[in-house]
Amino acid sequence: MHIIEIFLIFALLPFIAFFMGSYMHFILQEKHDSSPFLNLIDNAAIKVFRINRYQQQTCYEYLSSVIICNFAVFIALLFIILLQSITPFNPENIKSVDFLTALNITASYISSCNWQSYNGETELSYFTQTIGLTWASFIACATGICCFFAVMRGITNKNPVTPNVFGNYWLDLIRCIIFILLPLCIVLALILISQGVVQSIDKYVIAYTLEGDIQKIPLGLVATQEAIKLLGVNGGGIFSSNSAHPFENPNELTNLLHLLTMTAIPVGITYAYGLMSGNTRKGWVIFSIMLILIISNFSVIYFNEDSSTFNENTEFQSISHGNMEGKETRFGITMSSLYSSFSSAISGATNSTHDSFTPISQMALLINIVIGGIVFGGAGVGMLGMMVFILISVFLFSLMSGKNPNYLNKHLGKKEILILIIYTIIFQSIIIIGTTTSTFFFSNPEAGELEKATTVTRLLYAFASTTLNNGSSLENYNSGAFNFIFTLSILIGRFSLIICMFVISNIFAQKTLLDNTNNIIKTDNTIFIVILIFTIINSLLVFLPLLILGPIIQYFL
Amino acid sequence: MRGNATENSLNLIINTFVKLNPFKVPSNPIMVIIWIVAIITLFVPIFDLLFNNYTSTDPVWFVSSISIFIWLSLFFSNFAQNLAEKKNKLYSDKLHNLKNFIICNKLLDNGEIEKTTNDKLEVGDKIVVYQGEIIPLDGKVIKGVASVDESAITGESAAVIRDNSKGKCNVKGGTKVLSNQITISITHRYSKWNDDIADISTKGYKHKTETEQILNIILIGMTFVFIVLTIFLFPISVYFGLKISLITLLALLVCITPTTISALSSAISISGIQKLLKNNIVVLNSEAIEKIGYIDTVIFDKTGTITKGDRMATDIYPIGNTKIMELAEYLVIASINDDTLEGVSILGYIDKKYGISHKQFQKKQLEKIPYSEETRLSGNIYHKNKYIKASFDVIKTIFKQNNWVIPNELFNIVKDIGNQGATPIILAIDNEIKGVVKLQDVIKPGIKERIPTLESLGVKPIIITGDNYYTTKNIAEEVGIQSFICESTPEKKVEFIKDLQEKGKIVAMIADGKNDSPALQVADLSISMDQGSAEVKELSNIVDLDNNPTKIIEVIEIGKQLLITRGSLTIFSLMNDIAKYFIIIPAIFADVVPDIGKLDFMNLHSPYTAILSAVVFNALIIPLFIPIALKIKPYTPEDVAKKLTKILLFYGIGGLLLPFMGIKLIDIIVKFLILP
Repeated sequence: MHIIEIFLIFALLPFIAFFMGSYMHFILQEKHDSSPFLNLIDNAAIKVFRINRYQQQTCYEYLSSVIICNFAVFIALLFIILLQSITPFNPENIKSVDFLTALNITASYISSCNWQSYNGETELSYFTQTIGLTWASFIACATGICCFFAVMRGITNKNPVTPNVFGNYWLDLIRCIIFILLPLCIVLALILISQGVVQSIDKYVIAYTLEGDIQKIPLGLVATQEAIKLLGVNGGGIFSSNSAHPFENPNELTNLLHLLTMTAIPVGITYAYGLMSGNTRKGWVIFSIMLILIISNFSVIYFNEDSSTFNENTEFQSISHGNMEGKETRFGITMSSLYSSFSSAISGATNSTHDSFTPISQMALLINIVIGGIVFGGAGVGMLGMMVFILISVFLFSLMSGKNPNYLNKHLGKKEILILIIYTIIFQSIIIIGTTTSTFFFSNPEAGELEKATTVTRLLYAFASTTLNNGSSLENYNSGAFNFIFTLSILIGRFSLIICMFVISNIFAQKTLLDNTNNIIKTDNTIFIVILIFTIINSLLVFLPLLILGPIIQYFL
Repeated sequence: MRGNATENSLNLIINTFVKLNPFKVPSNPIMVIIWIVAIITLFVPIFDLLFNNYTSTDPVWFVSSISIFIWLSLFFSNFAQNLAEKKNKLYSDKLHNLKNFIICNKLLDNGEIEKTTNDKLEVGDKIVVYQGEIIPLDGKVIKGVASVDESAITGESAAVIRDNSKGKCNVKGGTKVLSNQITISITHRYSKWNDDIADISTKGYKHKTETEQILNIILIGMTFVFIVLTIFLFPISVYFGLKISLITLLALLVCITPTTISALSSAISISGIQKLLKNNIVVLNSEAIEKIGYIDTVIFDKTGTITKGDRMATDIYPIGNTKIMELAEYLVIASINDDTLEGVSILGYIDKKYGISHKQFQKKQLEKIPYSEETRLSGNIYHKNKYIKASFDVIKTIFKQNNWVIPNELFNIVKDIGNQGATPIILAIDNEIKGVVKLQDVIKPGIKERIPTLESLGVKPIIITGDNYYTTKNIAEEVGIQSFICESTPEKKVEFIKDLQEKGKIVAMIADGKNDSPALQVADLSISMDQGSAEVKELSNIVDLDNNPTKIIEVIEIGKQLLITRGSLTIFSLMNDIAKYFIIIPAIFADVVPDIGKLDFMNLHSPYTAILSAVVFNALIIPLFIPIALKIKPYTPEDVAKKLTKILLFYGIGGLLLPFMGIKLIDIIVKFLILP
């Protein structure tokens, strides 16, 4: 049964890629004049927000619009969270969270990271969750998509005399939310509600258990948040146990929906990449590389979980063989492994406890993240991260074939590579320095090797997950200091990538198209795939000592 | 000779040691890091003394051999560079001799003449240079008058007169005596141009090419993160209560930085220059070498590049009753005082074909009608008759003014010659037109055959010239180049190149004349002929000593191959690092987790020997790859995919497996050495 589901998912991905990619491309790249209905809404939005739709922004105008918008949302969200105690829709009278936690929540939501260092049920009110976080999720996802399209517009600009082809961020944002995210989210939310996902602003339900205890069952506007959590590749749910919670992910059907919807935009982006670069084959090449990586990753996790005899805690002895600890019985090992693999690569939503996975599976999850969050990755930004590796591979490819290094018919120069390298240095250094120095907080001479190795794994996962905006976690480090450090790493990780890619795009926008079929590098063949995978694996080398000190020691002990 | 070779290699090694001087920083940034690491290793024993506890667990043989082998890898890197430079130097010396190996007539004190070669000449020696000979070295005319073709040095095609008068007495090496003979006293041992070559090849390699810079950026980026990692392994090892000694960390850093490619990087570039020198191509700017590989359009200047530069008489056409022998004689009379190359070529042609030498006419009987811009004609007055040569429109104007008859036959012949892309020169005696000389551009040999090869490399050839449509078309057709631009001025040439560049072409310009210098400056790559003027040569990136424009093919092939060599070695180096990494990391952490030994599938003797073997391998792989770096294979325009697969299999997979085998072997040797 699960096997069929898995095949179904992987078989559906190309179709999802095709439809989502074409649709996003249509919405963001086409003039809407041809479609009276879209034009109507477009015009209305333009009138309300007073945007001149024909005014193209320069690269830096676009980038500053992105930053202004994100900053505004940041401030608003911060206030919403801090003023929680006086805002309405707070039936449980939940108190405000402290400043550093609020900062962390804000940063993690506007950057689509959703590193949730709080407990959703007990720390946030309905108002904060819905008016604050749900909407921030929309902005975060739309920003990612807009950034990808704007960067591609710059890179594929045909005429170097007019380099201001980046479009208009405000218009892109509105189109993205109104035409792409909202309709899909409404449909998805309705389907989820039909399957039993909660959508309520009532007080928490008091239940009397068989043992006679009183249990509070939290409610919330779950379905709406769930929709954008998945479609927007955010991963921040209402409840702290995320998609493992029955109100978020009640049955196998919703689980399947979760998997498909969280991949929808990232896979669509790969096809849109092909459309933008003028050759859909290029998009499919990237899609297949990502697919190869995620399938191999899933296989590692699945076989490790399935064949594990790692059951220290006999309470959780599973009905079947394998490691059932931390997994929901309604999903089983297979679907939990697949969900986790997707989660670590894409959104950060989880339907099982990653901390309970076997060490090798944890390493596989870690690799998915430290690779740069590029296996599908976040909405738009995943593909931007992939382009870092594409450009480096293009250079290696050209070097080996004795050709002019060029990307999409444009010469690839020194500056672009320098910027890319700076980005990789930033994210890799943050993860390494963060993980190694944070071990000071946990120094305990009495702890055994296993405990130390576990701490290293958790810290590495936390730093990788925040810096690369994944959001899943092994252990929630929610002390004040960590909240602050992670706020920084989330923001640096998110905006360094976006800024670097915009700068590169601007350089490309001013370049002339090369005109010689003999010297152009074709990035749509098997050899390019091999070189790209080599480049990606090569970037992992730097984390090897940490992986050895973490999961590999855990594995051996 | 044998002794010389030994001396050379000895010098090379001594030189390399001099370069190892701790105060001399390597040129490659990665090697700078290795150099710093090597210096730190020297201080490890001092650290030992200061912090007695810390590194003292390492055996002395381990610390010292790590240090030695890190220094050795620096040594090998310098050696590679020196070797490449040395080869360059040797070759340029050879070039010197070759270029100057001219047989000349030394005038001895007793008035006798002795045949000798220019390399045996000394300053102050007197030599006699006859008509048609090349003046071997710079000197002063002490006897005689001669017209000298200095186009090889100045690019000016008009011959100049040299005699022993002041201001006209200096002659340059490499120029050609066109008529008469002169006696010269040598003033300089080498001509200036050859000194330049010597300069360039000894200076070797200065600028880094763009690809090399990009590669360096990528490698430095990687290395930077590795340095961060090495430094921050320290806190985490403290956390684990692990003792990773300083020397081990340094060994780790050396092993994971891409040393192989960095060590050989400059050697690759230098060997590219050398390879070009071997083809008699001098690279004035090393940045140009790799740019060569990118070129997709080549613009040939016609005059002096595709053609020999001077038009030559190739046929004569008598008109009216004139017999062909009569016409030949008339032409000789008209051309005797004409010092231009065209005049000389007419004389030469007639002498060769009709056997009428100009020596039978006494110059005294002739009165010269000199060429001037106003009359645009030249010739001689002989027995009171005016023998004049001029172009068709000049003759037409004169004859129409005086109402003289122009035979209809002439119009047909002139049109015919024009259609063939040649220039007609009309000969008239007084008011009667006697015949026409066809002056034609002569295409340099061997160009036509090579144009298809050029096109197969993906390069589009274009001819550009100031000549008219027919001339250009004719030359283009004869050479087999489809595109040509005619009647262009220097400004138009610049515009044309800029236009191409805007369309995304990467343009190389091959030219020799001064009028092309703006175009050469605009082009992405400029190649000039050795025969061109000195200014033009200074402007260009590359100078071809053989004056053969199809050399661009070799230039492009070498450029491409240079890129491929660099790419292959990069992949090899990175793959090597992966392998070394997997050997050295388990060795380092072997203390903390004994079970990690399971990762050590190589079954090496001990962590110490494993780390040492990796460092030794790291050093020894450099000299092993010097031949590959220096020997740039000929470029074969086969399928890119096939070629890349080969590279990935050989350098990629090979680069991954070789270290495992090599390190295992070294480990066995080390084991035998350290065990009593």
